[in-house]
Amino acid sequence: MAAIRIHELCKSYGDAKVLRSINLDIDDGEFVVLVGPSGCGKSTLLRLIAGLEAITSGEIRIGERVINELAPKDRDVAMVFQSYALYPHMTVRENMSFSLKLKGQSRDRIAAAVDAAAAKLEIQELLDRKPRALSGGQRQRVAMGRAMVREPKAFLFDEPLSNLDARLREQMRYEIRKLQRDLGTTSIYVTHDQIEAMTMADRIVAMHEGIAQQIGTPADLYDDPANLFVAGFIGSPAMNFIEATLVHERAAADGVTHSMVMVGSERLGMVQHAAAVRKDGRVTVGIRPERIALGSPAAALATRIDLLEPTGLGTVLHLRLAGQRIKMFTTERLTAGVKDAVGIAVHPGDLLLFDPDTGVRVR
Amino acid sequence: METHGKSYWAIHYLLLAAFVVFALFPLFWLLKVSITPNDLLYSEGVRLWPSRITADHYASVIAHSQFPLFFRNSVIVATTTALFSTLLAAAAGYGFSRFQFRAKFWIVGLMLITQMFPLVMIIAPIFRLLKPLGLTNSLAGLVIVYTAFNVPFASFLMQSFFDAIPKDLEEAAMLDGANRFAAFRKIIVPLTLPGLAATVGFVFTAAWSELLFALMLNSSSAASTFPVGLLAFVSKFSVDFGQMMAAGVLALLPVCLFFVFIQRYLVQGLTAGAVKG
Amino acid sequence: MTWRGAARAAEPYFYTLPAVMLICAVMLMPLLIGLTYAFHDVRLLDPMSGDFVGLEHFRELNADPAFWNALRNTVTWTAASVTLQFGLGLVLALLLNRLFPGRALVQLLVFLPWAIPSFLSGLNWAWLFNPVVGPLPYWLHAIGAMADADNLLSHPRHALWGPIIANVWWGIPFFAITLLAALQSIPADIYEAAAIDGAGPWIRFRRITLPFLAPTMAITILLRTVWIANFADLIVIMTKGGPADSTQILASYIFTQAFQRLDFGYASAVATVLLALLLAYAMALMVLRAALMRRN
Repeated sequence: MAAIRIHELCKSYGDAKVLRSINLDIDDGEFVVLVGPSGCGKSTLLRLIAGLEAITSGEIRIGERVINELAPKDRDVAMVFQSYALYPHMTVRENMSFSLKLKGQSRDRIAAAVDAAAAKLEIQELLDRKPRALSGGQRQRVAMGRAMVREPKAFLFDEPLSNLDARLREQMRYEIRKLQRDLGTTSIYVTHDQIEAMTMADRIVAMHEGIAQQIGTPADLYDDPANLFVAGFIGSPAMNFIEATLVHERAAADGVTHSMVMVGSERLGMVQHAAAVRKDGRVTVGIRPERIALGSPAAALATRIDLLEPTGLGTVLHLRLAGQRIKMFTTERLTAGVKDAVGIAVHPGDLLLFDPDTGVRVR
Repeated sequence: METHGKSYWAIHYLLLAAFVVFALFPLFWLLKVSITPNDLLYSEGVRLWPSRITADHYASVIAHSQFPLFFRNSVIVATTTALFSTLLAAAAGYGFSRFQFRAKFWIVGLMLITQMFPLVMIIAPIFRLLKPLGLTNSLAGLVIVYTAFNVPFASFLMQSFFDAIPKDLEEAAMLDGANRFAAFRKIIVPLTLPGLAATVGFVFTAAWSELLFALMLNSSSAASTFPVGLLAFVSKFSVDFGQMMAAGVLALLPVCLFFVFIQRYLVQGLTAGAVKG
Repeated sequence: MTWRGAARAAEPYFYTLPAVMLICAVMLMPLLIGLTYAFHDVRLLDPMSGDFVGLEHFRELNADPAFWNALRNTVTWTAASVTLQFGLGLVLALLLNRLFPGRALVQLLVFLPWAIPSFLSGLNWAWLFNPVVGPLPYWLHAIGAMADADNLLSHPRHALWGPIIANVWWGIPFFAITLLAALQSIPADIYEAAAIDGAGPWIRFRRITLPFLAPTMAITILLRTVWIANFADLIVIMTKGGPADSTQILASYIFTQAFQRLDFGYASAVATVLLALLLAYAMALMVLRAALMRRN
């Protein structure tokens, strides 16, 4: 178990820059999730830490050691692959014993370690089976067992739940996180699913186009996103982005400006911001569907319903506001139907401002 | 697929029967003459089965001729070639499968070229190369030459078998504490046993059948392989057909046995590579 | 580059170099040496030989009627062998593409000729054609294809067909396996969609099967053509190139020149011409393929 320090890490394939200046400090025992769409570089970052690819520039430390030049087998990290990569010609027990045999440990110690891990994962009855006789969830557990027996400095997870169906994924999310808490091993977990990130992580690294867009706790990324990408990637249904204009109202003494957010001729609310905005006042406003509330059609903002999506828990309404399409989520039972008018209300504090061209958050 | 009428299947089976007959008839005839006694050979000529059969020809071939020696030489050469070729081809095929490196294009190109030029072209230079080294009239010389001839195709064959194994198995092993070569030995090779068997069988068959270089490089009968020996026998004793055909049947047996066992894997491996073109 | 980086870069060579070195030593080097022989007077029996003679051998072969005859025969031999092997191989592959009881056994039996060593295939067919022990002369005579129950291999005009038939017998399995694999990779739902659209079996064959097979067919035919043009064994065994050089192809002519006359220089010159022709053929096909792909 150890802290992992990543400093100015870059990776290129020829001229193609896949990772740009990644800086990340992971504490001992922390569960960090790398999340982002395909091609953002998250798997590449994981493989660099594992030693399966060569670093172009920068430094990775585990504990106090710089591990750039070490072969994978010398880094003392364990990886759980997306396809599990269980050795097909060996039994589960042999799979789990392989690494310890390579270290030259005695048969008794190996058997003890394998049995202990199998008990923790509840796979004792599977020990003499071969991988092809196991279900997806069972193979998952064996892959974790194989990593566990090594008592490594860190666990690396490469989208381990992608091949499972939705129900199983929910269950495994819980089990993986619980196991990691019990063991206390530093873990880095790669996924493209933001729900996994939000529910499992101590901290999230949101990645896009090779850059770490934001690093923070799930609450940080949800409440205080740094840019359009993070705001739109985290949370489901996704955040609404509305093209709006800021009309300057007054400046306060402490450098905070108060402006009115206008969507067409509709007034959304008064916001405060410290940073300067564009001269033409154009801004992208973000508002989460679950933060929009129903109001009476007479007051607040008038919208028209395009589509209703009941989810059981509540309803997702597809609305049209001043010509722009937005989504709203409410748990209240509705009487309105498609093509009806409905009034909505937003709290100005829930409005997030972004520069429409750079995507950077305006605070 | 839709169901077909009776006439469709009738034609289908008829054509298949024709192919089977065409394929097996020469071998059947070989067998037939080899067990026909000499006195009936000319009088009964075209009969499909002799009125009396005998094992005399086989007896004389095995006991009184040099065929056992030729047979032994061929077995030694073919087996050794098959083992060495498969070793080199497994390594090269693995390299092609797992790595992208600059020289790969040239190396693959080199191997493709060797499949294209007439081998007869290098008979003379190889002869002049091997003679001063004392490798003519020797089984070792043949093994070296045959191994080189077979390695390119065997490498491509092994490559297609390795391609079918996911790369993350080695990566898992490397993280578990093995270096790549150990991962290759302990994880990948056990999983490609069918591929190795197919390659061994294929090279064995090719080496067993080679005629021209064996003819050129060997002038003594002590080092002759089966094809050479059989050909010499044929030209010397061109009237003793019974014995010659018996020798022919004996020549067939090893390769046919191999083939029956490995045909499945060979088709698998070739289809994997062939479809890619 | 770091130590580890150098080790990482050298890894692939560790695996591929042994094979490459052997091939360079035993095949590449002799090939280059052989090319030089074409320009030197190299006779095995004459230790004094080895002088540079320039284009002398090429002038000699230009005037050699046996050379031109061998060239003509090479074309006949290659064209006939490839066409028949491919055509019959395709029919066999189509037949094997349907499931029927006993298919595995039938497959084994029809692929068996491929396992037979080529020299034995040659001898076997030579014996079949021999009126002393073989049935074919009598059957050919009985169906009227031959005037007398003679050995086909002693008729200068038709002898080449003996080795061709042996070659076809031996070569059908290879094509059948390759084409069968390609046929089995065609997704079944394309046929079903076409059948629903009203296409009959012949149209389906022309419009679906053939275009799908075309890429595999093209490469396979190219490689086999080159290989068959180089394949001298059957002719050397069955006819030794005779009667009177009538069945010589370039490859067997090279062999007899080297093996019997021990004139390595002349043999190498003929081999160089053969190699040049094959390279020209391969390049012409590449150009044709590129042109066809541009048209599409």
